[in-house]
Amino acid sequence: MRLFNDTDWLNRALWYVRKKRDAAAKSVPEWEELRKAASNIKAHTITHLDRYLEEFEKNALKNGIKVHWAIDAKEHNRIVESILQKFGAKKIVKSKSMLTEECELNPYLENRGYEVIDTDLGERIVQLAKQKPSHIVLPAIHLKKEQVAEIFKQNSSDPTYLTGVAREQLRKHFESADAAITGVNFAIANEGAFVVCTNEGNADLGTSLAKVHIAVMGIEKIVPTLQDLGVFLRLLARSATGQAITTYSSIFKKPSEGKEIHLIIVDNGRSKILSETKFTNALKCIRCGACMNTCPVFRRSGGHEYNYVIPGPIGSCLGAARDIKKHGKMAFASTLCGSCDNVCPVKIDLHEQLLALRGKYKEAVSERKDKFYKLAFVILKYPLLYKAATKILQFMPHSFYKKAWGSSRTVPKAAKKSFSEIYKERIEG
Amino acid sequence: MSRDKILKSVKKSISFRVEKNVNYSFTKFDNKLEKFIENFKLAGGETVESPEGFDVVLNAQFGVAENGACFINSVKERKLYTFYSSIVIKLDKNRIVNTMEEAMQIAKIDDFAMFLCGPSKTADIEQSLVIGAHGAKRVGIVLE
Repeated sequence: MRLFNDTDWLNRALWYVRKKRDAAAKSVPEWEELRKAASNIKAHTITHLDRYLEEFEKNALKNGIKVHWAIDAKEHNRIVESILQKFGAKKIVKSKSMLTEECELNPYLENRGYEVIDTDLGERIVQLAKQKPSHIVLPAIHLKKEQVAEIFKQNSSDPTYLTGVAREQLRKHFESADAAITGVNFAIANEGAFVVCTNEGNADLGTSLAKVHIAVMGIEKIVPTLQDLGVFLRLLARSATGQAITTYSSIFKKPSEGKEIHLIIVDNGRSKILSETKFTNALKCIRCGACMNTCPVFRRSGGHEYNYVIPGPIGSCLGAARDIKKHGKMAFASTLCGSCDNVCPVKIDLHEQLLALRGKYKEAVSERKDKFYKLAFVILKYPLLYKAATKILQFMPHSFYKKAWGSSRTVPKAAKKSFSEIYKERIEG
Repeated sequence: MSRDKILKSVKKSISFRVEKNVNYSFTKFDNKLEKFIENFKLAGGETVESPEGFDVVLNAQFGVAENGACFINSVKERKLYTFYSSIVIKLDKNRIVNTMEEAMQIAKIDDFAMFLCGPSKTADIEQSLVIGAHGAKRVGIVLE
């Protein structure tokens, strides 16, 4: 049994994913050209979004896809439920969709008697563990294989064995599901079709077996043409995991005979972000997760410490832009190093937005004038008090720091001697 | 109606316009077939002489050299792509394009199409790559 006294392993795991991205990017000579193209395509699309949404809907309807519109999370959930009711569906298999997390679809449906099975392995693991995903691409990266074994109630923690167990269990769910819900990676306006990318094949297995496919998308998922899709399919997997392309990139255009495809187009605060010139570019995001893998703060904090459904640099921008009072503090969880800007495949000016959001937060939230800050200022002012305070803090139990350090992170051990003590010993002997 | 409310909100929100100015450039490989096979294998696929021993045979319209993906259009029964344990793809070795941009120039989608690249996989448990998550565990290709 391996011990968890190594608090740096998550950092190394995420950096490993960053290195794979780097290798993939280096193998494409025109990588920077692709980024410029992707950035331009997205910027153009979102600044002409009304036109493209109408074009997409018109073509999708022609293809026999049923299109719904939801202003907010509540409406999205109600529409999903109404479709399920129409089909008498009780059991749903779901492939990864951060939008459904944002709308809190699972608890909404479960409270109304529906059974929802998350089929992406990482999502299934966190579902069984009753946790939220900690990363938009690697939902269970914060868990060790021994913890996964425990979650699946298995004796072996071998990943191949555990994946086999999950495959068998989930197969039964796929075969007995009434409906399949997926997200949408890209919606192609001129084709009236949408794309779902996975490595596991869960989206395709689920949708090919169930009688109804419900696909949900944010308004910003549109791309103008099939030609544009090509650019994004070159960038997405390479940025996310370092693969040239995901195993399955499926283009849904028309429903199978005898089946239905329902597509729900969701706003839920996106047009508000669109209206703020400084933060519009955050809507270019293609949800690759590269910014999270490179962020020195994210790598050491993990996704659970961010209080928005999407964590990391992009989550901080989207959350804070959507609701500055509720999520604005996330903009401060950054060193503004700009590494996220460098890896973003669509060239979002993330660190500049984070800086601007800090200003917005200060305007929206008044300064805290509580006793703790007053005490802290006094202690920092007098060297003897400061020394005494650091000595006391050094020997406080871990429970004292738990809340501030983060409930999902291990508190490191305090050093036996402070830096100034060691310095004094070595220099002054 | 929500549709009209959303479209109105979007239209009102747009504060600047960016014109489309894209250069769809792409690499051209010296040996597309070699690159294709290399990438197909990297994704866990295998080259085979015959379709014997596989559960499903699928015909690909073309392959993409830069990533080893096979474009398979409109298979009648969609569960063929992921339900069975082993799939073999038949591809004309002269129908390989360089990159995805080139692929999109010739891709024809009837009602459903897929870029399929190797067997199903996941690395969700401690980043360990495991082949055979939900889809096919074995994917072969016959180059004709």
